[in-house]
Amino acid sequence: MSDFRSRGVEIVAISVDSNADSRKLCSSRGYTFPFLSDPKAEVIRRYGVLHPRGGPDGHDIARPAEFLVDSSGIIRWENFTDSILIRARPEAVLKAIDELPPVRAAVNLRAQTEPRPEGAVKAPNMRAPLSRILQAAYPC
Amino acid sequence: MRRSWNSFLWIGFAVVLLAAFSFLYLVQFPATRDFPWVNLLLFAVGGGFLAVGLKRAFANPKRYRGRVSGVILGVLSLAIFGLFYYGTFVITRNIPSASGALRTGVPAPDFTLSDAGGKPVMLSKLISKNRAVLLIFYRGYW
Repeated sequence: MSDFRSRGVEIVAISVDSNADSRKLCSSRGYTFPFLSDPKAEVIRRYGVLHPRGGPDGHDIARPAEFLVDSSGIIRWENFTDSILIRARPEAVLKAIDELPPVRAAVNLRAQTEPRPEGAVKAPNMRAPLSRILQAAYPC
Repeated sequence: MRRSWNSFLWIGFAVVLLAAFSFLYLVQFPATRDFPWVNLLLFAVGGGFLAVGLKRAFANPKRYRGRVSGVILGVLSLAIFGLFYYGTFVITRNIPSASGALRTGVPAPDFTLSDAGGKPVMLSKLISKNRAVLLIFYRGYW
């Protein structure tokens, strides 16, 4: 997390989950970045990452995807996985950020020292019940 | 001559069970989750034990037991492997392609969505502080 902040990159997660669900997720996993709720999948649709009727109850949800938006609002990097088991690892995203010179320039490296150890994609809590660990393989 | 217990069959089946259930633990680590090589390796080892056990049972039925139990364990193991394969390689890839998604170089559409506390968060406001933003879309339903 601090690796992203020190590169001038904020992290924002978006799903169709309600605010209450996001609160639960945040507190149980100790994430320190905002989880935004897009219940009607409007933003998800606009970014072209809709998974129609992908939810367990047939609702539209997001397919897993990551976009890096620079400070001028342009998409500089994106990642679309083929498998919901395989997500961009924080190291890989940081490497991608570092390998994009224009982004670094636009990003304006502002050192912020916030001692927060969380990464973008964190392994599930080891103390979580089995059902949680199973779920963790899929939804996030 | 008393027929001896065909331990390979049971060892093989135990390893197959371990192969399937260890995924619940190994899924936590990207190195063993992105490609479940440990589990596949265990399945291969378990399958090897079962094959040897079955061969013994059928080639030397006077000496080894396990013609019935071996077949049952073998079929069960195949079913477990099939479920594992389906769960990790088929279901997980059942997501639409991102061919219609936005790509590098295009402007990111602005949006305002509320965070977990109900506070509105606006993309253009985030980047206005001269910062970049990593948007992570995830499936949800936790």
